[in-house]
Amino acid sequence: MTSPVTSAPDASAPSTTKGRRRWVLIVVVVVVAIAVVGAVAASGRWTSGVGRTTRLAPDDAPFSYPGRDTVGAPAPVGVPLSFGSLLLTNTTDEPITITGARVLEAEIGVTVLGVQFDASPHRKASVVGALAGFPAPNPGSAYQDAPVTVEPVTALPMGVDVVVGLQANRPGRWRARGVEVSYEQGGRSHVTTYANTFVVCAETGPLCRADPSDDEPLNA
Amino acid sequence: MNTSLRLAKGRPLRGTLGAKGRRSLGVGGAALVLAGLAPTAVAGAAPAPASSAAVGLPLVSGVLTGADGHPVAGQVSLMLDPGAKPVGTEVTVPVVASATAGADGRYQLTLAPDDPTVAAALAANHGWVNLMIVAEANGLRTMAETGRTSAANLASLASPPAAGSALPGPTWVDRAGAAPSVDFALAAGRPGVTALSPAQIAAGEAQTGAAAPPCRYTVADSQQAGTVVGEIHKWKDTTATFSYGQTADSDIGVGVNATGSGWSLSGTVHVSQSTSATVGWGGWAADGIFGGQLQTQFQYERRHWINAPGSTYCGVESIVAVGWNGGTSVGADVHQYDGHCDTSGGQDYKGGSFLNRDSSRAYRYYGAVNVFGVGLDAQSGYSSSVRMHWDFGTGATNHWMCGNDGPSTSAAIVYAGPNT
Repeated sequence: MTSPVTSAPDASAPSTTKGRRRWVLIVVVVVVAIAVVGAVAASGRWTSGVGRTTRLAPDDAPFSYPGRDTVGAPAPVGVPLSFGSLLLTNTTDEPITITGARVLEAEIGVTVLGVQFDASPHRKASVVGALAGFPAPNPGSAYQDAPVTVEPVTALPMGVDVVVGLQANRPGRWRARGVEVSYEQGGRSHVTTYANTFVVCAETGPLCRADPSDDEPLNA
Repeated sequence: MNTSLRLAKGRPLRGTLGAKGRRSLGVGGAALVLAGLAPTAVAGAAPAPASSAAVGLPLVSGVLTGADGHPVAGQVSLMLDPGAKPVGTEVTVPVVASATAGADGRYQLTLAPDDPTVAAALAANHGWVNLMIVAEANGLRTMAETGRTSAANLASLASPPAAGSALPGPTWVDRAGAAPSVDFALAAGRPGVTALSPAQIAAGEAQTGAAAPPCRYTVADSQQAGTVVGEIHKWKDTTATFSYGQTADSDIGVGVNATGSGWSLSGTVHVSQSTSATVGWGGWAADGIFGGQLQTQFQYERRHWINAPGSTYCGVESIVAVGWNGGTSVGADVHQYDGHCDTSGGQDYKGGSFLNRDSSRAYRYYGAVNVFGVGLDAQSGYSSSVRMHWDFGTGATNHWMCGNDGPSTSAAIVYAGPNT
């Protein structure tokens, strides 16, 4: 056999190795990038590419957040309920504009009617715990849709009352868990999810009661 | 004495020490923030963030001042509370960090998060450590101040966010405390400041250019005492429950007899020990009215500090909470605060509804416990370990609830009634 045949593979070997290394490097970079993105997202500090919206955990947000509540109330199918368990206080030095809010993880039997706010400096503190009707039947308060500006804390009543409107669309015990609030401050957009849970008991009896599963972490 | 130091929410707090939160401390409480690594002395150094984990992150810093208010050189040591020990045990308090202040009075302490002593203390107290600072200058010293932080705080400090991303939340346990700057005013005659005699100085108790020596104590006695961890209020047509645990969640004041002349409060310790079960209060008649403070049993040590003859270098006595034993009892009747909720700040819950609060609201009870004849403060509620629940009946259309410092959904204490 002649030697030229055997010499060809030797000449091509270096370029093949470089090609493999290049692909290995690309794969490693992609895997690392995915891992970094995943870690950042899991940490709750994801910055989206759309509008540079930063997701802040409740403890990191410029609003104070006293903690997680679960509120439930009985109501017939089709009767709206207002839940007022969320009070957010602006503890920074700059106004915050709430640009929107949405209720997360609403089960199939509950219809979200909306999320309203009252940040009027002259209002009384919310009288809404769990009441029939939406908008909330709350004389003396002025609930409105977003946008709403929340001034820094200077005097009582502080912050903004957040009222969630729900109604059952079929009999049963239904939950909506989590309120995602979008807001802007100093030209930056943020979004924070508060893990409050709301329960509507429709035609299950006169009493609506808590269930241990209400305390489960949000899926989001 | 209020030892809570408050931080503005949403503000950067890691390591750097803003003047806004600076406070001068005599015998009052001190707040520390743990970070950092190996014990390090920084002579006369202005507080500055460390560059890497190998160097350590600032734990706590501040300024020593003398009688005229001007900075003085001196020494500062950070000591770790050893926790519960059997009666009769002689305990040496481990020094886990020390620093020397230069002529500008500035000091900075760093600490190793993986220091075996610190790690063991974190494990024993469900992720929390209780610390004391001793400062000394010009032959004067302050008695130990106490502070506390958690493993979560340490992790936050050890993992700074990427540039441009959101800063982490407050690292100090109070969740809304002050910047971690602890200053000491070392002036003769000031409460908590001990003047060392020439003999003591000659014996080496007054340190010059060196860390303070460890303090030692003997566990003179240990007993449990009912300690207020919260209160609950209910009106008619309502049932209510209050639960605490299974991890304790209370800051309890430390009683100190620094010179033998009497007791005062000096900071707090955080008791976060776990037991096998949550404890709860409830069972009050649905048609009745109840407002009461709720107690559970904590274990306390009375410590006799060991000093050279004629010296009170490490103090004379102290009373410290060292664990949680569980159990429930009802303390003071406070139902007189109920029956005042209405449309002026109250919240209305329709018949048949419920409210469950899983919160981080903390409330300080002055004189929450009387142990060894000394009253100590306590506050609970930093975590979801404290929960309150109300079930409203159908005997009334409206069930009014309101808070001591805000709506029932955000207040530290929730009052009830009247119903309509």
